[in-house]
Amino acid sequence: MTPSSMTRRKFLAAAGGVGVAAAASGLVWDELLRGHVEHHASHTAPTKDRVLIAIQLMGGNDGLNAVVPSDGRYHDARPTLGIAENKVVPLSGTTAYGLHPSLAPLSGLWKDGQLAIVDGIGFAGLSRSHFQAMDWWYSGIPNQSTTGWIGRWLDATATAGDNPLRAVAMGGTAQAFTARKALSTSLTAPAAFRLLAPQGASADQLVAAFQRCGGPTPGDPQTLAAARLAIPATIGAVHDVARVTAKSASASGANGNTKNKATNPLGKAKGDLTDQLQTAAQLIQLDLGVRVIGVVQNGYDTHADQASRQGDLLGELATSVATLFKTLEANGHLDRVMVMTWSEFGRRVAENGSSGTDHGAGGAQFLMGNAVHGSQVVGSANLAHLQEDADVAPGIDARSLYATSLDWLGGPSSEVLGRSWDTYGLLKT
Amino acid sequence: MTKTDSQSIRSQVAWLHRRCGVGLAPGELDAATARGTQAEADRLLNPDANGVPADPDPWAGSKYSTDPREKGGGSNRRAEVLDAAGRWIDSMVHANRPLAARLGWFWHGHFATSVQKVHATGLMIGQFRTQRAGAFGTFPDLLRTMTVDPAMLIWLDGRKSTGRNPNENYGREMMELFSLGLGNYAESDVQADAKALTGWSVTPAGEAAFLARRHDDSPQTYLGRPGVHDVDTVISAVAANPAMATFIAGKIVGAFLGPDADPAAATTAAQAFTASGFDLNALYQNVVTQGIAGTSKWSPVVVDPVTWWVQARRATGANVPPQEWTALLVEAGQFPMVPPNVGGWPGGNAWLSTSTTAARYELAGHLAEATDPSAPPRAAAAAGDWARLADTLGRPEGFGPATVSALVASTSAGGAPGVAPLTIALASPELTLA
Repeated sequence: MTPSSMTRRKFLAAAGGVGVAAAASGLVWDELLRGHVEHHASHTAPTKDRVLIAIQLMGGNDGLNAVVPSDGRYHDARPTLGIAENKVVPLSGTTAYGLHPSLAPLSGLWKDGQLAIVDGIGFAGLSRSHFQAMDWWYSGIPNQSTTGWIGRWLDATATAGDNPLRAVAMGGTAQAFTARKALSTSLTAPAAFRLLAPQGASADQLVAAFQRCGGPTPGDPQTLAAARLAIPATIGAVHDVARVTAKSASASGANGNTKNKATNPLGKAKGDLTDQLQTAAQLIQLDLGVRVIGVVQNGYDTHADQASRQGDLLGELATSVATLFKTLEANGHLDRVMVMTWSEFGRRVAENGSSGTDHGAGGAQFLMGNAVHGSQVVGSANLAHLQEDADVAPGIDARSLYATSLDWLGGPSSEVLGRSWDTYGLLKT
Repeated sequence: MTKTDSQSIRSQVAWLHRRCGVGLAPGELDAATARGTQAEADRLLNPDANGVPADPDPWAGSKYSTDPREKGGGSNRRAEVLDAAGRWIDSMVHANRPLAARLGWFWHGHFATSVQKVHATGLMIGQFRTQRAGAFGTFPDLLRTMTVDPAMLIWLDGRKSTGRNPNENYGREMMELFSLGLGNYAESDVQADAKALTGWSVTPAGEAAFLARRHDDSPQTYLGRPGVHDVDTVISAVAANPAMATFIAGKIVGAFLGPDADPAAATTAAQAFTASGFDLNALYQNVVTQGIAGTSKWSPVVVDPVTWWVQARRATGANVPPQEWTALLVEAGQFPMVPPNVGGWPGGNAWLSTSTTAARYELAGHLAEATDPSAPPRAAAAAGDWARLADTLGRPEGFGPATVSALVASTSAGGAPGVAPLTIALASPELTLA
């Protein structure tokens, strides 16, 4: 076989048949992945590698209406926006907090000890800017945004055959995965993540040619080098992900010349998180070596009309997570998975005049899984001592949530997060 | 003229059109090189004086909804958005005045407003028309028009902000993202301008209206200035703050000279901008002049998917049906009128992600297929003349050896003559940078 006629799949099946030609043509990517796939191919049982799913609630989820405190001050501050006591979903074992009615599907997880809540979580000294807040949460280091916390974990745990599918970002934001060296994969829509070729051209050969654009070129400025590297990374990732989403030969790229269906560029709001989590489940089950999956649910910046908007979002969150748990359990993968939510900040305690809330500070997040020491609220939304008389104070540092996740995932969490952080007994021992 | 001289002029004018324009149609690079760098820059910056015809309104004759009560959903709205986006892209591809076309797109990303919340496409187009009209005036004027723009009033909840109950959404983002930058205002300033900007609403006909009874007219101290109580005094206070010139000049320098440009360039630009009374035209002049003075001032820029697409279409003369480019631009992570949030598109290396790379590859294939065989890029590709191919795509410096190796390999991939290499060329790393 000559390199130009070889697809990645054929390359892997022929294992060892390319050698010198591959190196010269810049098929370094294939060599890196070959080691990974051979390693996994030799396993007959599903790997026990753990997987973290991080759900970004983009916009700043209002923690107080998600995890409702039974504190009179709450209703004083929110005469119209406050959740009525008889609507709050009770949490067994505590009367201090309850859930927004749309989060009812999560109360089963709470009862089964699979859900812990972390309340009053954030960063001290953070402004109320979305973008600064997201930067801090993405990086886990205030005022440093060259790397993300997951990126640093990828760097710290990289092995010789670095697999860019260890980390998959869906929903268009991958800043948490930015690393010094380790690669990761981003998908906007998994079903559309492919490399179709023009009519009459061989899809495999054209992709093999495209691969060569990624050949290391000494003297390239950094940006051009990064642009080059993106190409073999993309080709490898597309081939692997296609195995998850292919339903027919024409979609898989084997007959690689089909036309695209029309897409609605507006159609992202509802159902998007559900789709992302379903894909996450498939990625986990397919055993591609995925370790961290980032998904995003957008729309939480509820300055106005919060009641219906947040209700819809929390409803989709709870339903899609509950469904995810059922799917993973049915397929024997639930023990391997932990799910955490995060959001750039909570919102102002007092409602504003537009039936909404403005930016705040401390928020409420969820940590879910069989390894979680559930049925507890760690931290609090302390309404007696507000930050600047206006916001829930971030009594728990965001990095405690990250440390908990990374400790469970395995790897040097203190190194990644700058120091060790209290994990408040969130993991079962 | 030595080969070096004319080649360096060719490189400079190609750079101008990649960075500050919408790419080059066949023949345009030759014409620009013959004029010389200074003359070409002048033609870009001063089209009136150079007799360059103005471009028509991209959406002339359209009848999109301007009803602010629209709740969205439905195929009518989708059809309007696709139609408006298609017309906008077409107008950039065919622009007589490339700088204005490019700037129209830039200011959309700056004042990033999404039709997903505004719903009425007609109000979005109204905002873009206002931006295009104001792009060559002063920045404070542009900022004022955006502050009371109907789409903006919906997007950042200005229309729900009343004297009795103000909300902070526009007040904060206006300073943080649109005019001053983080760290140049205090939380108390957010509360102050939120109050001062109350009272604006959008009529059912889609026009901004000021309702005094909903306005808090009490004087605020804002950005260190007392007596601020309405949109005009808010804008004056912003303009009086030195951070504004630095911030806006920095944005234009970042766009034209690159994110890692010599920091002195931004300082120089901010000074010229301030001296001119915040005239945006003067700012563009200053930045472009600095750019053509020497490459040491600028750094590579990753082009965003829409800009890449526009430039590729202009170079090849081709187009593909909406059902092909729409899905792929969404996959690439960028669609007109749908920024991910008020911060706009992240840009830079975010456009080197696997999803963008895959989408761009497919868009390249569609475009290559649709390119007329006699069009210079496709003819060069079919002839295996890689240097000429690069030149027709606005890269007279040529492709690097890895890309050339890819082009050579692509000739074995079959397909109609020139299509496979043209696909590779359009999707190459060189074409992802301006």
